[in-house]
Amino acid sequence: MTVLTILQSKILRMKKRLSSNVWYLPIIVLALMLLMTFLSTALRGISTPGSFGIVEAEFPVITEDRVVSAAETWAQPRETINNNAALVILSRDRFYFGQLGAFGKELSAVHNKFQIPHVDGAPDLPRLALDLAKWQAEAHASRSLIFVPTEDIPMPIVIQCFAALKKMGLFDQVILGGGLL
Amino acid sequence: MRGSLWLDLIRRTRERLSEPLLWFPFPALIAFGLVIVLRGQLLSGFNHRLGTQADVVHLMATPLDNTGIWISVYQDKDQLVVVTDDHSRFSWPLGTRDMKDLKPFIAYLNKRTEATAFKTTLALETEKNRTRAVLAVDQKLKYIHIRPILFALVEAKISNYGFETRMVR
Repeated sequence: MTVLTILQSKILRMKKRLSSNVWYLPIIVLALMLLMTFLSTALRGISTPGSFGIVEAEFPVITEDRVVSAAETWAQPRETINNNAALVILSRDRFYFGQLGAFGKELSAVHNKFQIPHVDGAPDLPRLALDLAKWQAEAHASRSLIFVPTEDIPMPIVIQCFAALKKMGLFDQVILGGGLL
Repeated sequence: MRGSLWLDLIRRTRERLSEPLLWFPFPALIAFGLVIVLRGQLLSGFNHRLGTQADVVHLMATPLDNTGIWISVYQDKDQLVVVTDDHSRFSWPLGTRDMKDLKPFIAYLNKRTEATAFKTTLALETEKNRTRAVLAVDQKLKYIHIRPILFALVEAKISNYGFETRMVR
């Protein structure tokens, strides 16, 4: 028996073995389920990526005449908003800030308001933080801040500025205002 | 003629079904369907973010663990569309200043807060995040579009709210 014959015989046997191989149904189903699980996970990863966060905000809550204890309400009294509260207005081209009273009574007066122009169309938040810190120390402003964007400001900028004001640590309470202008 | 064709079709089907067809993909399709449904790809109830068009801002913020009342806000032509986590849908003209347009939404918020308050009372739990409104605001919107929603939250006596962000790594 030559080597060629042995080889041909082996090939023949292998062919026979492979041709008679029957795939078992549960194996097919299981394998496909595993494949689909993998594909589904990949699809899920694409469709709902990453994790989500929240920039928290709150509306100021006022109590009625009767005394409400902290146990009775979610909003524990922390700060009173009065004319000394800081007000930051975000317009298309600059920030304006000052005490709330300065914007409520003497809107045209320039001595009690400050402005920070945007840099290349983007809000100059680092400078705002520095100037607010200086101003807060000098003006003895309260630790409440009302942030009022004008109507045409895109929401991503509003959210980023709001988050930045909260992160500054200068104010205990940052409120997003809506109806002052 | 039609009858003989029909009988022929039945005969061929009977012949086909008399032999097991292991390769036929029906079992795999059933498995696929189960996996997809259980993973929450088609059944959007598993994931409230599916099916809304709001593309939120990318920003590092406090991780969002409890969504509370999740509200997705986006623009569809000249309408502002609001979709909630239980797939309630509200819409009103984009630049509306009329609170009448928001009445159904305010009624919905009132109902949600009442239901949540009732549940938490029964469960003797105190978690303020359950009545917190989480606004998933589309990046294309401006502040004027969101103000009516803030007014609606005030009307529904929801004092805690927040803006959803996608965390960047």
